[in-house]
Amino acid sequence: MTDWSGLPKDLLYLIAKRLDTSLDRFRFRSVCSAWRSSVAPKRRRFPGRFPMLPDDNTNISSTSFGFHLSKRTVFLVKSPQMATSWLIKIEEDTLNRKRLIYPLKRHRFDFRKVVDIQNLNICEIGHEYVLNYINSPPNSNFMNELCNLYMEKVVLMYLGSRESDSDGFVLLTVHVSGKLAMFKSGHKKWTILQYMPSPFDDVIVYKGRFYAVDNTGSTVVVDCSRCSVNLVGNPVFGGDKKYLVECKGDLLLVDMHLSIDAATFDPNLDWEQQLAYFVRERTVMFKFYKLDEERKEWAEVNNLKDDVLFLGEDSVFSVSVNELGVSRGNCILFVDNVYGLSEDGADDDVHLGVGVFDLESGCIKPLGNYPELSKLFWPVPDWIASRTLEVSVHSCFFMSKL
Amino acid sequence: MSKLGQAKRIIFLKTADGQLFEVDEPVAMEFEIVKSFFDENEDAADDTVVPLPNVSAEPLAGIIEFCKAHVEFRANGAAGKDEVKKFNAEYIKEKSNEQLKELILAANYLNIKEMLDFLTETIANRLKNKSVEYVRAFFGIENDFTPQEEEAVRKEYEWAFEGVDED
Repeated sequence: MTDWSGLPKDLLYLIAKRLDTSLDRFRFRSVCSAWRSSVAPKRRRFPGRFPMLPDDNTNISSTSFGFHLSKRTVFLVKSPQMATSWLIKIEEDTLNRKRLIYPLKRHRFDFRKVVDIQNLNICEIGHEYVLNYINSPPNSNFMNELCNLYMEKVVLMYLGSRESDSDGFVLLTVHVSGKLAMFKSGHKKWTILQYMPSPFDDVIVYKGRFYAVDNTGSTVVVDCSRCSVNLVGNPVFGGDKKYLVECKGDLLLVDMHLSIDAATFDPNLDWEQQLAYFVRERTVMFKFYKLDEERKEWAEVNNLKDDVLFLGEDSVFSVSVNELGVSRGNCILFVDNVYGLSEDGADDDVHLGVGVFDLESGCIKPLGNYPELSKLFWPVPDWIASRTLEVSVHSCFFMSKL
Repeated sequence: MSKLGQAKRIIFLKTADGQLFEVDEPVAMEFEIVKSFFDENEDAADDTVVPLPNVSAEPLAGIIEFCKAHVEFRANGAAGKDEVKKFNAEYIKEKSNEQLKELILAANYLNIKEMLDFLTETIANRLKNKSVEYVRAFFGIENDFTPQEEEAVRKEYEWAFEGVDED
């Protein structure tokens, strides 16, 4: 058998630096001594403070307020026999403290445990970045949620080679005006891109470039060095909110259709719930398009085949049924407040407000109606529970060291 | 190349196992080690044989095949196009694990940037999302950690989650 442990260190380093996720890098370092010493663990440090986005109405000095950036990663954890999966989102702060977050949402999940992940098969599915106002104490859940006022999706791209941080990075988000806002590391201010036929809805990194879609479906590629945009997809109009997602290497446009009609009036709901029904916009359907970059057209897709899309509040990702270990795909999971109101059972918070749109039937139902899919989130699988330690043991140990 | 109507220059390379290869100049110049040999020995005769004491004939033949195709792709303006991807995929499909290792060692020694990029990417893709046990078995690697390293690795395998604090 070929023995790969004897590769020269410079070659091991070249291989390791092509592993983009910190998890893959971590596993690389766990193989043997030679591999471990060939490359450092992957840790990215962000500046502690990002300047405020400019706002025409206020004169807040950009030195007194700002954002800090946090990263959350979505993982698919597979059971040792690979039969079932657990979908989780982890937020890691600058002190490497981990917290579980509801995968499609922004709030935290009370899971104070240590999980032994050895021999579990874990894939990184996606990640998201969030800008938090800097005046929020990092330990406070309540304050964080209040202070997380800047709600648009943020995407980040490293400039230059994948390895060196010295080349810096760029952030792209949608400004409150609907225009695109870009921040380059080392700069003091955000740049607002003036191009805006209509307000932008979503941004994504696709094949190493920033793409942005406005609420008509008109899609542009952002040229970071010139702060300019190039049109790559003409509008589709149609629905009310557009999202971009990469699926099997293709760029997809997800068009969410909302309605405020009260056709589904339910006399069993109490007054408050009925009011919510009337005033809230309700998701009624989705349409999907694939980008044809040569013709600059979005071509409608009627079938997602064996893929499941996850439309979260801060990121959109796709996973195949094989990876998930579920029997059928062709659907999209999304956050929809209406279902949060009509369901009971407060302990499975994770299901609240998540709906499933099935492309085959064209129907939307609460996640609870799809046991196979809802099990991906909650309850915590037995094979995870059996690998957990109560964290208090650790904190005692930690305290005794202080 | 020959399109320009010039006489083609041939570079002679001699492998560790004593085989002599005759390689078109543009292909041989993909090897940084050969290029710098001629840069440093400007008055080297045309029939100079460049010794490659760390490379044997089999991987060198594979490397010449790869570089020749890529030099042609560039000459035809096909670089970065689908046919290159198709060629690369076919090229690697036929290679065993042992051959892949010999190729990457040779490409590293000869310092061929394009080929190294491709081979390191190929190996990285084989490692992605794989468990450590799988990687050890696939690449024939023994766990040789010291107890201290073993302990450090074990610690890294513990994902400690903070609860939701009330403060």
